[in-house]
Amino acid sequence: MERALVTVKNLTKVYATTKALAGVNFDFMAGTQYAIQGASGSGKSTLLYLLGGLDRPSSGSICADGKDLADFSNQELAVYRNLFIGFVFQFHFLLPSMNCRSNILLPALIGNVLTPDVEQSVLKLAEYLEVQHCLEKMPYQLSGGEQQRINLIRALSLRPKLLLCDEPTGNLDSINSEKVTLLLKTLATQYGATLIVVTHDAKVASHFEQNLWMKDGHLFTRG
Amino acid sequence: MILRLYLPILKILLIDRATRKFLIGVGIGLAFSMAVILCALGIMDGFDREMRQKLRSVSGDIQIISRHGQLSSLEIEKDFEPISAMIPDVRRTTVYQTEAFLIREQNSRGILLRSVVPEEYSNAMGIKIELRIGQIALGKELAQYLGVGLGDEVVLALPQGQEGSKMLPTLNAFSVHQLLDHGLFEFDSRVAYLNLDDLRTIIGNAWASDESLGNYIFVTLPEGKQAEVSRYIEQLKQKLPKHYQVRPFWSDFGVLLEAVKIEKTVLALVLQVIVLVSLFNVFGFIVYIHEKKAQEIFLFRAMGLSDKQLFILWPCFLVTLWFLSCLVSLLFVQIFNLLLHNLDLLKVPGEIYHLGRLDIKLGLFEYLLVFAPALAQIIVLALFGLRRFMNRPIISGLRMEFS
Repeated sequence: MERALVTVKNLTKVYATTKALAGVNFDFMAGTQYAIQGASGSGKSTLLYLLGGLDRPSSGSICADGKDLADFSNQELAVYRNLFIGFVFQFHFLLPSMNCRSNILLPALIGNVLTPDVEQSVLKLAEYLEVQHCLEKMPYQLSGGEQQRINLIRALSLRPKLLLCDEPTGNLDSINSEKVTLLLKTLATQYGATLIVVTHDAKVASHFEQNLWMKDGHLFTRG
Repeated sequence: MILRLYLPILKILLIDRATRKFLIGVGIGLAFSMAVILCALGIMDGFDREMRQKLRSVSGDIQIISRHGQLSSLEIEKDFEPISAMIPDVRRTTVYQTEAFLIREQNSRGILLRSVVPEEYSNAMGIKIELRIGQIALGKELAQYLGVGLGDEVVLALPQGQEGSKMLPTLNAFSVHQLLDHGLFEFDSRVAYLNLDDLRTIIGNAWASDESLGNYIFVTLPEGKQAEVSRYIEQLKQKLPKHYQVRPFWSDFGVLLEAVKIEKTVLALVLQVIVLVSLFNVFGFIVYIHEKKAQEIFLFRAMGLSDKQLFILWPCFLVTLWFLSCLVSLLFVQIFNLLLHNLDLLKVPGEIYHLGRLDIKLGLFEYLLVFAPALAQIIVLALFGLRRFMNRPIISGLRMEFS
């Protein structure tokens, strides 16, 4: 029987006078893959950041694995971001001062879980994604597709339960866009992670069985 | 766990050469400014200590003078019996100290003449005086001024008494037997020692009685008791008859030493401005890190670096900078001390100060006075810097820094 990995209730987020989220209710089921579409400013990225613990809601609750994020201290929220969540952003957010291997291992370093096992699994994933030759390179030496794949390895390096992607194909051409989308789906399935992808690209969304829509801060399901 | 992140994150922050160079520059600047204050305080402390040490060697720990003038052996025996009981192993000597005139060919100078029982004086004061009848010992600077060496003859002019015709001088020739270096320029340029028996012979009629031993008593405390001079003085004042005046060895230079103490405190406060200036560099470094390393810090936070970890790590980095700067400043102080000892340029003119060579002497108080305010100011700066990261939501920081 399917269980909810993340439950969102009456979630609102207000920035000054703008209501980015106006009462979102939804159960994100474990192991399921979601695409959230919506116009710019509809609140889809805000929802993603709140789910990822990067920001706190104005009201409402987010329960992850049965625990309310509102009850988390800053320290616990940091651990949640480190171990429970994997982020893939539109901008790869790779540190230009470090090579790709160090960039990938950052979450493990920060979480103090940098073990040979983690390094091994990262290496395997790099081989699988055919970027093993990029590990010692600096991010600026990589193509956009390679950078995004490195970003993906970093997001999956600690085997998160929830993989959150904010416009992961936003900077890629259509061929690379499809490749990265399929990779995300495949890897999420392999890692048993729940996948939530925010996109404005209908073609990307068409690959997902669960399509959601954001409009004026509300979340709608679509058959 | 937090400290395990310390080195890897520090390495990431310092990964580029420009940041490392900037940090080294800031550290050296801070170290240098702290060293300047330490040197200034150290020199003053060195002056104070050196002066006290040298003064001890010429006046013992305690000076006792009788308001009645001369002290007889009977009187000393009676009055000073309690001292020995009060301070075991105490050493004392009686000296007849007077002013006189020393002449050598065309040169002459007013001097401080100490007539002593050589063995007793040497034993009490720790300076070896060997004088037989007809011999005189001179301070090194005095001998240089008069242009005399060992074996040369000098003429001593002394009054025969204190009344009428007795005030006329009597002239006697002595052979220079010893040249003494007390390490105090002013003292060495004025002092001469004579055997007490010689003085008795010259001005015998002027003495109250043959029993008279002198007009000053110098008391030297046993090793380890020197720090208690003030306490012993108070006790002596209570035990001795009222006509005795009891003074610490530094009494003649008390005002100077007090002035040095006040100057030291004022200087320490004023020189904090130098540290403040170098802290602007630290502030500059913090701003630089914010601008150059904000990407890293926001990304660390997005990936699970907690506010608490950041709150501990960031000040830790700056405290490390402070600590290393402190160590380097100690090195600078040692270098300056070495130069102070060896460069003639840094030799203090004897005509102005009383000591030939100064030494930097620093104690815990001086280190605290310099290092602690610098640390406090660095921590304030660190917390100020943290505010910027803490106040901005992670996602807006990420977007801004990576856009």
